[in-house]
Amino acid sequence: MLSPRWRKLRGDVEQANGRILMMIVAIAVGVIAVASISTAYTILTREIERNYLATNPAAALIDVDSSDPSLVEGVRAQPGIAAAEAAGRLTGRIEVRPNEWVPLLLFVVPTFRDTRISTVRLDSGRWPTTSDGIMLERTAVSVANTAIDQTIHVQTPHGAARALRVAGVVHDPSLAPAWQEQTVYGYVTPATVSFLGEDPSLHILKMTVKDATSDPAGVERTAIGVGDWLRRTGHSVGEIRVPPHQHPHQGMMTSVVRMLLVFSLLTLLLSAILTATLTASLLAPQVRQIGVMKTIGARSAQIMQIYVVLIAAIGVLAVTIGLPLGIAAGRALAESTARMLNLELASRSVPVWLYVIQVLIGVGLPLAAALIPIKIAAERTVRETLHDFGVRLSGGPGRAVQWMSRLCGQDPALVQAIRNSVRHRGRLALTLGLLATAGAMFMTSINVKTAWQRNLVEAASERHFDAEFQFAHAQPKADVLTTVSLVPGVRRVEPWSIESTSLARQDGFRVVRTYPDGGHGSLSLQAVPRDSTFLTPRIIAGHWLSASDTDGVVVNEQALSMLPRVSIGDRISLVVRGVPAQLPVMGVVREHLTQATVYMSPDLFEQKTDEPGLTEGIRVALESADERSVDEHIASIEGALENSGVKVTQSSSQARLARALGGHLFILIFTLVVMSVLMATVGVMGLGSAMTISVLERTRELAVMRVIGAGAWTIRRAVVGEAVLIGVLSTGVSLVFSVPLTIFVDWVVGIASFGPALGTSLSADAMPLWVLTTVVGAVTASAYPSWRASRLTIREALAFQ
Amino acid sequence: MSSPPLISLNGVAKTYASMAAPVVALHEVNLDIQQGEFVAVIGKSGSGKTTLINLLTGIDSPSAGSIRIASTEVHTLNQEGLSAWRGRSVGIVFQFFQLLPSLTIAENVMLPMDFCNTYARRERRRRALDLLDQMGIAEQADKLPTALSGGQQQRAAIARALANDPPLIVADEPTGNLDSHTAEQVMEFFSHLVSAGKTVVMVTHERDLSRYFARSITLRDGTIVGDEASGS
Repeated sequence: MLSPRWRKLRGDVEQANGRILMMIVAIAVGVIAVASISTAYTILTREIERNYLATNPAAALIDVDSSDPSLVEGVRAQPGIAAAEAAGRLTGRIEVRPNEWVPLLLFVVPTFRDTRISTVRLDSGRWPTTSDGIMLERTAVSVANTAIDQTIHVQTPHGAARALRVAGVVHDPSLAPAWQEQTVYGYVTPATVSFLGEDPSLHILKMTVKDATSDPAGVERTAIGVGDWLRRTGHSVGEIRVPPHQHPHQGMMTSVVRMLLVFSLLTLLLSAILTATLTASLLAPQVRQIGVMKTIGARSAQIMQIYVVLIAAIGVLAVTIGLPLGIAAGRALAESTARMLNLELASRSVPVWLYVIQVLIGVGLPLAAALIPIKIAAERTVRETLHDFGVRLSGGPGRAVQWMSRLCGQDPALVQAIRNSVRHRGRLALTLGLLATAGAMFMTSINVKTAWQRNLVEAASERHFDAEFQFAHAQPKADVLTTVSLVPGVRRVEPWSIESTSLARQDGFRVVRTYPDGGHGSLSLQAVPRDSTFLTPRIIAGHWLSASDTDGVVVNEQALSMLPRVSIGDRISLVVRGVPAQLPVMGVVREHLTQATVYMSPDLFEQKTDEPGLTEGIRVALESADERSVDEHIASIEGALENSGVKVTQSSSQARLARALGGHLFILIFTLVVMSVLMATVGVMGLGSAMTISVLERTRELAVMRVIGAGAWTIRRAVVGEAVLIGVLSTGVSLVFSVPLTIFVDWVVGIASFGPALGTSLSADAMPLWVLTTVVGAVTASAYPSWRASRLTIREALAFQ
Repeated sequence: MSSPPLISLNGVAKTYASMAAPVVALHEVNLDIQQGEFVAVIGKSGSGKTTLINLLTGIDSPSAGSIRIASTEVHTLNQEGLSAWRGRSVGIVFQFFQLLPSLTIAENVMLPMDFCNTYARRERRRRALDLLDQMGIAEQADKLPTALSGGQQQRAAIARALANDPPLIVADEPTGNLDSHTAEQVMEFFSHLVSAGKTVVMVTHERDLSRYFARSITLRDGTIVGDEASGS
């Protein structure tokens, strides 16, 4: 049989079931937020590593002049090497629609079945048995606009366009998804390479190391050792690639999910604060009863125990509801992120410790917050509690309140709303804090979306060309420019040569940290034509290339991050076509959504590449930038170049690139918005709770108002007006909070995606949207308390104790 | 040799802070009350009656002086000590009953036993029913307070005050909210308690009830201006 104190608690709960329900919902919302993000984080970090390691990724790749089985055997025998295989890589392009080509990256393996390093998993179809067979990565199938058993047209630098049959689809979790990179990944054998008209010999040695946990520097030392041995055996050693031992997007994913985790914890913290305000509202009508209990022998600890048990029970119930929902949401988020990152989730299991932590923080955090009002209520003296008649207004109204009251003229309901809002300043601060944090989050999500879109626009505004072409061989500039400028619709054409480079080392090796796709983590050199109008990046240090800068270079911020401690005037050592070059840095530029690049004059480029008067590519500005029109013009330009004997290996349109980039952050922004909606819900509930307490405390006052003639509408207006006033006040605080939060999120997103911070943008829509949300939320939140206040009979209200 | 008084106040004063100026509610009160006395505290509104009662029950603490009840120096106790002491040593009856609305009458009576851990758990309900029976409302035991009349609620409140069998009952205008017939009944209960050896201190300004008291203490402006046996 329950003792009377617990029966009292049960009775209190029955009387305050609305607030209890609100507390359960508030905590459950916080738990859902934390559980979903932490679940997604746990699953994704585990699975992204599992996926990547399942491929037995190469710890190092070395470009060599040629390879044969005995050379591979020799590499295997080198110190620290666990396994080695020969492989190849070939770039080309694939026709995805008539005359529309997309870059193609071909990975060449001796045989599909015997590959042991950097493996891929057969997803559907079968391994090709003929030389015209190709396997496509599963994310590349849609980009290639094809299907198994269909024919695709492929062109490589030295061959004509050939038809290949898609034999099957593989899963390669070591690559960024094809749709993100707008590149088709294919897997072929040397026979197919030969069929395409290219040299079938394998020029890459892939290797794994014995100490799989070795840091990149250790792997690099091992790879350099192999490079030394290769040189000693008479081989020419090209680039040595030591990829980061992780998925190309692992860093980005981890940063973003960690940031979301911080926000979810913030949501739970807000829920905990809301629990505290709701507890205060629960205790407000209990004040006198607590006093009575103390007069009959209850100690503060016993009073506290009653309410601590209540809040703990509410926490347990909320966790029971929120945890499964949060974990389900987290699994869904993990699955959609996995799809985005092209991961296969082998397991959606969540470790037991995560459940334990969720329960502990789901119950503990709200309880810790609620302890404050519980302690205050339990430790009030009997005299205070027995003489509690609600709130008092100490001193006179402040200047701001007087000013606002004057603004409301003679409307007593509004004047009362203003003055009531500041009567309990601690509670006002708490409610403002809740709403302001939610608002800051809401505005931040919109600001980040705006910043991302602005980055896309700025990226486009920095590049004043519509299409880019790379040639199989360097071509005379004048000839190419003449040919292309005669194509109808071409507004301007410029020669742009691009060359991959790396930092020079004393041992003469070229060591880079690029991923197997050769793109992520790479550093490139670009020759900027004199008087070019195609590139206008923002100078952040030094100056842009000028006619007098015959031997200087300009680097973008992404490249600067690869060149530690480099200042204007310093020389950087790069390897260009195997030859080290000392290049003074003349300027640093900020570029949006691009990779690490070093810019130099064409003269210097030609000097370093030993290709005077030649160019390896062009950029073209067209009369129309419409995507369809650009694709048609690309086909026309390629036709003209082919007719003049220039073989195009790659062509791309800026519109297509923008489309690819646009989708990168959708899931992040979506999650931010969901998170801010959760926070807004908690904030509005907090306001509702504050209004409920306010009405409870002022029951007698409201009765007096009724006695002296106030109608139900006047009472309602006073209560709703107070809620709206608090809501509107909070929007100003939200705006202030949102600025540092936006800067932080922009920084995380920028660093995680393309290097520099996104650059803060404050959306003009964010504030009005949040004000509207707040006003609607305030009216909704105060609807019940105002209705309740207006329904109180004078007799009930005056008898209220 | 006479036994020492149950209640002894020496030089007790109480001053309340206020925004305007300090308000002196009691001036150097000296008062002894013997066990088994039925004492009325009378005076006009603002005379210091409630302050005196609050000091006796430990609801408030004196600004000066000492308060000893039985062997307890009440003025030295902290809030926790006061709660524990009050629960076992003082039964308080309020004008507005102050029964907890979410508990039945029996549960209200059991509550002090629960908080002070007096009486075995299984005995508490029986004792509550016995007390309610003594008050003549045993049949109302399982009803909520709102279902009872004012007189029944006050009887339930007296039963609650007696739950831990305290030697002292302090009542603050317990008949102030009752009709005259019910008020008489309540005073009869208090008289029975005094007969049984309890000490009852009651604030009242109903002169009709003076016949029940053995002693009347009159307060005016925080000072005892009269202390006389009733009827004299």
